[in-house]
Amino acid sequence: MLRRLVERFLVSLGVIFGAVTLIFLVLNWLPGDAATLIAGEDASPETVHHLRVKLGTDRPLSDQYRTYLTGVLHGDLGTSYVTREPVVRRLAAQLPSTLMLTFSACSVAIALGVVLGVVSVSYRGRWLDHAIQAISLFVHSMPSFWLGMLMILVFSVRLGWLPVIGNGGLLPLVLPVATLGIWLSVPLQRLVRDGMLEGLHEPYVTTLRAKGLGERRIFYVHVLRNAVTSTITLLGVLVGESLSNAVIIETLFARQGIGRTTVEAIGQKDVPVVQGAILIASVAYVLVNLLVDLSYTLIDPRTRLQTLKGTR
Amino acid sequence: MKSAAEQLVAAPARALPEIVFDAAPPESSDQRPQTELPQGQLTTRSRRKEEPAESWLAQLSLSDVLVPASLLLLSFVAVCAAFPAAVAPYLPTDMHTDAILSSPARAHLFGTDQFGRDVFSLVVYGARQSVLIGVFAVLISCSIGVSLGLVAGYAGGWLDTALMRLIDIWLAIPNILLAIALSTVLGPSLVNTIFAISITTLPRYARILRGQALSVRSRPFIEASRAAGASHFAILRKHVLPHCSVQIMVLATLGVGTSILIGSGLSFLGLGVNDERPDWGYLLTQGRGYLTVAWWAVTFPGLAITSLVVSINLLGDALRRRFDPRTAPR
Repeated sequence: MLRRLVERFLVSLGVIFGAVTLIFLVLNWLPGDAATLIAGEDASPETVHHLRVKLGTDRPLSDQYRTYLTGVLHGDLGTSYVTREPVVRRLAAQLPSTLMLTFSACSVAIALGVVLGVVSVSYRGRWLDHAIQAISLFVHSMPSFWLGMLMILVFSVRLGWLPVIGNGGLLPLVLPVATLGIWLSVPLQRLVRDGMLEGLHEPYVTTLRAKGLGERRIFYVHVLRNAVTSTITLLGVLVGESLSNAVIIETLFARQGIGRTTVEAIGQKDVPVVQGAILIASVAYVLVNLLVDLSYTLIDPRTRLQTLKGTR
Repeated sequence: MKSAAEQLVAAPARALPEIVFDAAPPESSDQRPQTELPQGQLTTRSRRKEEPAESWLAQLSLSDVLVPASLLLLSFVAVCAAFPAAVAPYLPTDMHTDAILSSPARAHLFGTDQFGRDVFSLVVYGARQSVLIGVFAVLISCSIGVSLGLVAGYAGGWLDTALMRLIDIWLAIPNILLAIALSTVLGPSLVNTIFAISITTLPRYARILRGQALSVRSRPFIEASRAAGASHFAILRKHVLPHCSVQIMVLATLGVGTSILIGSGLSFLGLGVNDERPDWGYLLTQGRGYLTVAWWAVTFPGLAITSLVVSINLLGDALRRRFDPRTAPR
């Protein structure tokens, strides 16, 4: 068990290291020169060169990479090209807002996904189930920002219940959280639904029936519990999706946050900020997946057995 | 070593862990309980009132309607993409200055935007971008991803380990963010958008196909052709690839929808192309500023994206049901 723990941890570290490298390569090695873009089209070559020296992009790539990696290990993600502010400080200021959004949205998604999944299964084959499945398909095929726009149209413009933008208080949080939560709940709903439908055929259900347990109890206690436990596997995906969609949702609702900072930085070709933001998202994603994996080993004895077999 | 979560969700197609590919339409898994459930076993509320035979018939007719409907919509979008001038009443550059932000009416079916451009025409002309993005991004990502996955799964050993570690790293960067990074560096253009989306969606194909190849590898017929002297490349091409063709077809179809959605997201963030033929994502960005006065400027372009992706997802799932031995009609 300890061995597996250490092994998984090392693999995750490796993946994070790889991701740092990959992001660095994508943003610095691919054609496209930040200095040229920042200086503008009609800047003289001297200006561009001067800027390049100032930004440090004139040095060889391996040199830049070494500096960057050393920085990352010391918790320094570089300096913004535009504001000359440390990237860490800039992003840290935005982190609470984004965490608030993604955490609430994930909670809404889980609650909604489980409830809709259960309702769908208990009404399976009937119109309510069909309606939930049809709406799921529709929501799943929407761009998240269009769902957000529709919510604004209905709840802010038509009904005037909720403010569209703003950062203070809980009220401006409702629409972004609802948008992201509804959008993310679809895969969970399907997982719960499929899990329960399949669970109803498991041998343990037969055993429970033979024991004389009521159908209701089998359904709502045993089968439901197994299906809900399986949603933990989706948690990693959920966090990844909510972090990437935070970029879009924050832009749409003009909310403070890492996502919006990233979009601004993209407009200004501020590579270190974009790099830092993507790095934070990736690290969060990898860590959540690690936690999911480990917790699953604790929750589900079957995986423990399989791992034992797998790693001799 | 495979992660625990993967082991549980990766194998059966029923619960794909990726949000993007998992698009089961309403009727997909409904058939399962009805065909597999021994009748009268369950006495929960829903079961008791159900007429299995009738609802199975209802199922059938529902999917019989939905698949042709999506095909119809897809062909309409294809026509719009190929010959927009034949469908659109106006040019996307026509500015009707006398009808700025006018609501949907007979002259302007979907209303007009802040420049007095006809929204219906804009939507029709915007189709080409989405179709090109969807088709080409999938062609690139699917062919490379499938090759990588098949080689990794078939070869096994260090090549497999190395490739899969690379895929793990690739997948660690959340979805849209990698596409954003790529588009940022490369600058906005259609080719760059397609490239960015391909790179972003590629590892998923590789991972799923690797699993498929792994399961085919140990089959006796592979060993037989090996014994008969077939080269590894020939085996991959003639035996392993055809064996996975259904899976590839389904993944590619659903991938078109995913690519279109990512493309619209990039466009919304200002990373797409915005010339005189704005694509659907950019129309939404523009309409966003006029949400309070012109609901039609965002409703119709969004509806265009969504209905296109819904059709693609329905089609992909119909393919899965048709060819998947576990759910195919008996």
